[in-house]
Amino acid sequence: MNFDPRYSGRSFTSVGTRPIRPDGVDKVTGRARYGADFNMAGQLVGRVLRSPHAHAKIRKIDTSKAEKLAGVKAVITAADLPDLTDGDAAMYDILDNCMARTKALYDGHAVAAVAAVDARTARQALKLIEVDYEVLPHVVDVDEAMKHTAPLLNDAIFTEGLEEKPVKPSNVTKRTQYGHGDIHEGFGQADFVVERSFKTEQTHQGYIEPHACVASVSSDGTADLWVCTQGHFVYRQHCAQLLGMEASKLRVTSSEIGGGFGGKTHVWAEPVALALSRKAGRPVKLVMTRDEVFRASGPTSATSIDVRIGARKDGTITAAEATLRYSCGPYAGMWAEIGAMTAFACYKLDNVRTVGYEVLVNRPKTAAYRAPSAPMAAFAVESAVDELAKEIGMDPVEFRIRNAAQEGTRSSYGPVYGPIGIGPTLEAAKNHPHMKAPLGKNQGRGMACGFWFNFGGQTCTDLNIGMDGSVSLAVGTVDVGGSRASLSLVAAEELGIDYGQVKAVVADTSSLGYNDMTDGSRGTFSSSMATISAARNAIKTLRDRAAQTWDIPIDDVVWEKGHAIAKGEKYGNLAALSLKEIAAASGKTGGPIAGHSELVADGAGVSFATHICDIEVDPETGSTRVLRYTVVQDAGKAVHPTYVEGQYQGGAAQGIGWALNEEYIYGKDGRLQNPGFLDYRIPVCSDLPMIDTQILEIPNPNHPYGVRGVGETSIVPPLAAIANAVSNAVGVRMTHIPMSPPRILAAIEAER
Amino acid sequence: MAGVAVSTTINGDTVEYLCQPDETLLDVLRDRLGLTGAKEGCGTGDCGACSIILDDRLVCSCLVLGAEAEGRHVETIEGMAHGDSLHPLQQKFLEHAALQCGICTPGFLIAAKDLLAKNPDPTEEEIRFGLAGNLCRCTGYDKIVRAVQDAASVMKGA
Amino acid sequence: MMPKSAQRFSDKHHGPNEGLALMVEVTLWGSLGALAGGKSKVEIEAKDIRELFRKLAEQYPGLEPLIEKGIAVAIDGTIYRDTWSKELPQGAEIFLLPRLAGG
Ligand code: FES
Ligand code: FES
Repeated sequence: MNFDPRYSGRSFTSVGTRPIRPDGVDKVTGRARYGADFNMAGQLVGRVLRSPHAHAKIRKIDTSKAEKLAGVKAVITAADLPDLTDGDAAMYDILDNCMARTKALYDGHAVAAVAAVDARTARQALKLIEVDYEVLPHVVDVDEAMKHTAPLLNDAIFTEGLEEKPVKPSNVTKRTQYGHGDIHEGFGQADFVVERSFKTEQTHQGYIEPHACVASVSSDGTADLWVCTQGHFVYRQHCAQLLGMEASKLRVTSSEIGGGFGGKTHVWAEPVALALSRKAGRPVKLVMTRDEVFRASGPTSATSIDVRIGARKDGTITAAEATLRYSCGPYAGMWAEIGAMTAFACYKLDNVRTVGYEVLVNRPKTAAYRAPSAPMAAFAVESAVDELAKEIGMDPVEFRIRNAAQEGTRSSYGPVYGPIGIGPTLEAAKNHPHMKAPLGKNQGRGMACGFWFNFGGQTCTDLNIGMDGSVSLAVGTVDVGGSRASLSLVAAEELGIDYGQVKAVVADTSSLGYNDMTDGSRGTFSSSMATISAARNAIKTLRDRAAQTWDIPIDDVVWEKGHAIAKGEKYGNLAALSLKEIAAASGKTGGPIAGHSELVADGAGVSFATHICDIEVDPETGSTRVLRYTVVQDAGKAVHPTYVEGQYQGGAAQGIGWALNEEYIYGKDGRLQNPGFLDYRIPVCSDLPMIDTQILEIPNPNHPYGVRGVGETSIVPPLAAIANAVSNAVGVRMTHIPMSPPRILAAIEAER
Repeated sequence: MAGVAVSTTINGDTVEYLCQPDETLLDVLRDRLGLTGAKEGCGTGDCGACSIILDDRLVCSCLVLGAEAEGRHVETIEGMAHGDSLHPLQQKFLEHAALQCGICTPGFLIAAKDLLAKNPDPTEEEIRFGLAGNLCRCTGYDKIVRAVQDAASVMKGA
Repeated sequence: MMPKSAQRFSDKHHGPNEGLALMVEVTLWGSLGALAGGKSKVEIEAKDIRELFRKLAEQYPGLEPLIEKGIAVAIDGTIYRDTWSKELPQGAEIFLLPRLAGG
């Protein structure tokens, strides 16, 4: 198979239209089945016992009383999940996070689990499990955790990436550095320098559907797992490895997924459910409560960031520097590193240096959250950029346009950019009517830019043509927000048939080859590439069948608008054959017609966005209102523009919540004080205005249709855009996210 | 614990069930009656994913006991379409792509239906406040509000 | 037919690419350089990513575990995470990056 992924500049019939999604009716009628909507005969209810301590040694767990309770069919602890990770540190961390082994490392860390005939019995059984803890000192703040005096989470960790090998263990697992040029020289050329420190608090992805799965392990070693996940193939691998199963014997079916945003890229409860089922010999359904979701799944990093940027009078940035400290929870991560890579990615810089520190704290294991790590870095950098523009006396948009990266610029994380959209999004923002709209008293306008890499990855797709000419498309990337509609459009486009003739489904792990998960905005990018390739393979077969029917060489048959056409005057008497006609005759021309594709969809184009927002601040209470919000983002090519807009709007809304309200609040005891939607307040309908969107299409040269990922970039600029707007409204630079009313009031008071 | 025998009307049909005295109506609907359209996003009345209509009142079914449904009328998402013809709200949610993951959708549809029953011609602000008890993490609410506006104008014309 | 997994790992792309391996200059990101004896640039004779990784691991054993875990290669700004058969064009800018997580 020679698949050419290069952008072809073709025109489109289906791609770019806005049909109704194939899974839509099921979702508006309540028929769609999510993680918790599935049951198996004889299933038990699984529940997890969690540590109430932020940091504690587990001396002993006595499960005997729980085991004796009538209706309890299995009780498990770490002993039932032996370490099979064979030196794979990342997998060991996942295992330890699923079930604490020697220490509980955060409030909510799983220490034991039960399976019982009903929820009531399971809950009762949890109360009968006796855990003997030795409570240890804890640390939850990222700056505190870096101090030499801080309690150590893991005394086997010595900071990696330092010039001198450290002699003492530390909560800092790693130091990383990016950049080029000479920042000292660069700052030497600067007429103006802005230097600021920023903090952002930890937030949760906040998907409305809690983690849920049904696991069934048979005594012959085969198993089924029904689960809401962003990547059922990855879950299969992880679960199989942690439980010592053969991957092919574990069939994982992804349910409809009620939001993930990165939080459903990790296994949490699934290995536990499988272990319970294995022990009990019955299927086990395990659904997290909302409290558990907050305490033990997700969240993103809390951060502390220092930024220094210098520029000449003419508005050229001469040097930029940032130090980024990101919390990882109790296990090593690469969150600060991603922050260090993305921080200055929007700009053309001769001298830039970023340093990241990964910091362990007694909080849940940090998980990816939509463009992970980028929003916090962008908040710090874009705030400083705004301030610098002000000092120079330049319009903030002009200042950014002047310094924006372009094709050929060396990015701050290393490689040189191909065609990119930062300049065009800034120009579009500059010319947007929103920029010129008048503002009232106590109102401020802010804008900011954002960057995200976008991923590709391993992808496998099957396209099967039925005898009636309808097409079923089996993809392996979980549909998190309408990708089945987009992929059906792509199949229809390539085959030259109607969207309605295509039905896309997400296949389970036994029906399709391996697929990476839907992360890094890769779903539509990668699977559309595999779909195009599969469709082209099917077209080759269709042409071949037509050639057979006509008894002419296949090279004389072309595929146009859903028909095989014999080209050349000598075939003037041969009427074109439709896909439907060829399919109907397939039994007599060689059997079923299908196209398959297995590929690595590399070459995802990077993506940029610029956001504008207006905020009103009540100076008496510090409360804020978002008056107007505009998103401008490059999509490469919007396959289904409505769902692209939806991604832009959803990312902006999450960013607004993060900027203004959402945060994990820990008590002195290291326990999470707001593990519920009442106290962890995500934006509701009445908090937001309409969110305007403008889709730019700067084709990705590495995709046949020019598609780029669109899902994540939209959460990158809001923190900064809103901080700039609030700062402009109150006349004080806001440096701590979220800008909750008390923080805004405190900032205003401090200035008085 | 002894079960409570309940006789109620769900989406127009008479339904009888036994439930525990401390069991929520949401659990009864989902686990005993197989009506999984109402979702549990929180179990504490904060997300609205479990919204149903109980005797013309919009409620969170996670905050109602199964036993409380005795003799009352329950309306769930499963009863919203008539046969294969969708309710205008359902149709408009599809047309406007007012759902991404769709987990919040049944709750929003029920809440929007209740809103339009009480206020057939709501302003944008009334829609936003009327639906403020339902959380959506995916859409930013923009398309949801537009779908409700559009459905309202269709329903007025009908 | 070969099973899909076998097909995926087969070297079928190699045939037409067989050619002279070229000397390419590879830039290592900050932390990676430390493992390659403090160098930020290395010269390697390689025609594709597979050969590049093999030779890097030979010449700089400190890099091997990282290559095993996954390193991405940016060729003229485009990031390749898994396509080891990707050719390294002459004069291209080649940059090694860590493999990232996404949401
Ligand atoms: S589940 Fe009832 S309000 Fe959230
Ligand atoms: S569409 Fe996902 S929560 Fe609303």
